[in-house]
Amino acid sequence: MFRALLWTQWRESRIAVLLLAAIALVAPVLSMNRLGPATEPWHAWDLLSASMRWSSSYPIVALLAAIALATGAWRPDHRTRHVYALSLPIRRSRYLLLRYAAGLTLLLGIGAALLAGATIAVLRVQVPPLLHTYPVGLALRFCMAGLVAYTLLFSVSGLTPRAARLLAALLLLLIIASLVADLLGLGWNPVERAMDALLSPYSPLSIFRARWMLVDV
Amino acid sequence: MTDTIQICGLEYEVPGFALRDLNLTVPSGAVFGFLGPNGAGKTTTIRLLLGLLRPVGGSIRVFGEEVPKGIVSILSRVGYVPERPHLYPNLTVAEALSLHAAFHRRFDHGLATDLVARFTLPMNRALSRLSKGEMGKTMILLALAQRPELLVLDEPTDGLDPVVRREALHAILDYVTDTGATVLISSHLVHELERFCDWIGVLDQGTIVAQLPMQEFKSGLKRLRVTAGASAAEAPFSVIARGEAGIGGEVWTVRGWEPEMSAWFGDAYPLREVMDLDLEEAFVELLRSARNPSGREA
Amino acid sequence: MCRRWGWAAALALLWANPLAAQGQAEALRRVEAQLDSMRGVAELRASALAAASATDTAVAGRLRVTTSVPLRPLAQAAADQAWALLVRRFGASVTSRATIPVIQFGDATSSPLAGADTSEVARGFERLASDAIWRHQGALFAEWLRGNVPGVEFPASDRAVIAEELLRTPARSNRACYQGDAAACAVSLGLRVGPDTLAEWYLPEAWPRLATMVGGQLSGLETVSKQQCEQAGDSAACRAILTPAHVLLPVSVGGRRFLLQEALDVGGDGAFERLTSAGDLALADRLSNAAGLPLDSLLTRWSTAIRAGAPHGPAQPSWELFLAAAWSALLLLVVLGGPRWR
Repeated sequence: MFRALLWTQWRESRIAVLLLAAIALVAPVLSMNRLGPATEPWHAWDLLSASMRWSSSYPIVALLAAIALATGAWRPDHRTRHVYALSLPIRRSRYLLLRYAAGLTLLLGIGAALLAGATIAVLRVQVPPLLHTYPVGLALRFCMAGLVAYTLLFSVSGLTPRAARLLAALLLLLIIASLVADLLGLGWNPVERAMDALLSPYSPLSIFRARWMLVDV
Repeated sequence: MTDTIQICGLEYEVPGFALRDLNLTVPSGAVFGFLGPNGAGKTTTIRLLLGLLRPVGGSIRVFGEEVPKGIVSILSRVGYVPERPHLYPNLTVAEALSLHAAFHRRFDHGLATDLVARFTLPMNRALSRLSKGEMGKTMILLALAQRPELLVLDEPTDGLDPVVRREALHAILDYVTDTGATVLISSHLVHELERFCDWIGVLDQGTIVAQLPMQEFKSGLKRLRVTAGASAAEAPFSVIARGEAGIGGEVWTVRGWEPEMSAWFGDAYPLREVMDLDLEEAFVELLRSARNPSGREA
Repeated sequence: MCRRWGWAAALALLWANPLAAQGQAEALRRVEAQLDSMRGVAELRASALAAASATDTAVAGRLRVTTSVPLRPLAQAAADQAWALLVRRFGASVTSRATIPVIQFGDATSSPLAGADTSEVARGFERLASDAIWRHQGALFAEWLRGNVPGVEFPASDRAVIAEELLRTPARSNRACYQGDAAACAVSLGLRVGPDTLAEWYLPEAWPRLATMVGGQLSGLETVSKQQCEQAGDSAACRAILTPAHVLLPVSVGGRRFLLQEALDVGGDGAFERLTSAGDLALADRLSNAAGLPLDSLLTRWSTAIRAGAPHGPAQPSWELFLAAAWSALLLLVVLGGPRWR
């Protein structure tokens, strides 16, 4: 069953997966490209600058992968109004778990591509003493950030139309409340609060806030 | 004979539509034609039956198991062909077969291969690129290849050309003949069911209007040409519709007719002719009587 | 962070360069200096306006906050907290004679803020008052801090930036400093440098590229020197443009501010007074006096703290990864527990 669902997920999101896996593979290699010799006084500067310059690409790829896979996981069912999925002789929770796991497997595939790319990249450069390379750490954070974003989006994408309408209404209400609060000068912005909550420490997306450095201290 | 499907007092409501106190029984081994005009609630009833919708009240039992409690076990024994394509459009026919086989333990690959050949389906073509007829046949193929004990077919041949329709129905009939499976087939194409079904249920505006063996349905409904002036009061049959028919004559559409009832008319207002109604005419008259319970029309 | 536009902030977080390049820091330094002087003017103006329109005043020590009546309880609580922090940082004697401008918190018509955090407001008051106190000692540190005010907060993430600077900037003493060599740290921090600062800090091979980082408004002569240094690596031209005021610092102003903070934290009571005491003391001696430690010990403490705050790779802290897994599990459970029906 899992393999069959994994195949449907692959068919649904293979272009995005291949593209993102290619980016994940190539980005670390490119980031460490064209660096001067290790004896050059600016070598560490260039290495860390390159690492820093490319650091924002990894969370973006993780987020894009999560979006592509979460929407891809539900697209076939949404298109068929869930009739096929619901007529399969399987508990709904098990079906969802299999669907979730299928997307997750592809996410891990992209993570593996990043690990491969990062490993190749660090093998190609000479790292000055006291600096360290983090291909595994980077891939690990990538996978965990992708995981949490994927799970969040999977939950939202899988909402029933009624729940989705409720969520949309809630968001609309938040936006309207923010506008009204702004107009009245109440100094309180619910949208801003919600975003802060979502990105604050201990919140689901806080993992995105970090140094995504392939080479670092 | 046990009943494969038992629906008791089923209630369902969405804005603009409701099923009210719906009772339906499908005997095991029957080919049950589920008739009704568009919008009568056939698809909704089927979706409730398969646990795709949540009922407001009443109970549904399939194979003696309650829906939705035993839905997994029920669905493993049910082949379902919905009115609109429900297969993942990005998959090819072969991939759809693999996916379906993965979820159905009794999936018969041999039967599937036979049906693919019989239906001449393009295995490597994406479902989204199939013609309407090919898609219909693919859905029937999948439903049959899982070797179900109950086939639930919701307008399975709607919109198909006669050749494809015949192919599909023959495949279903062959399967039923081989396995003795129960079939619930919904359609508004009355002629199609006439050849195919041995039981019939008629649904109109969310209510079951009639439910009886096909033979009884067909034989009990007659059109009588009678002499004008005859009274329908105390007749042993029920008059569904009554109208003028030339000079000194009337046409009655009746239900519950038996041949020996001819004697009831007597000599004063003799019965002139008893005419058979085909299923479509009977269906129309039945709906008319359901919507106009007084049994009279101008 | 831009608090008004949450999404913009989220994107900015993703794009934001977490470690400010020193070239950028140079430009920022100038902007900050301008902002500081503008802030001073704005504070005076705010004081005047506050006196005219406010309807209530919260007082804590020498901290006066004008505000509206409804905001008074919040302002008072925050002012009390801020004052306690100021006394702890600068000592009772300094704070008791400090001239702190009146702080305006909201206006006469402001109503209570929903979900306002007293600690956050207190930190704001503390920052304003602290800046004012430091500004009075500006002459002592102006050159060393390139016009910046020491500030009050130094989060761990900033220490990571300093750690990275130490290993990134091609200054000769930086690596040794990172490893705990106090003498090297004194050089990197500009506390013990000889007359040829540039040569002490950087190898000549690094000079042309250092010249490319010199920005801001340059005189015609400086521009020529810059070009000659960049293109021909002309030593004299490089020395002309890479003056202590222009050259990239081995450790940026942030690192220096952190040392100042360390000295005050270690020194405890009276540290600020010792730091700013009268007399023609060298900066190194003032820091040592404030901390009550020999300079080398203070610098060793500083570099230890920097190493402790150094990043440990993207997989650290590991609890963040576990937290992400926990959130995922929770969200998944919610989804799996949902109804069958659509």
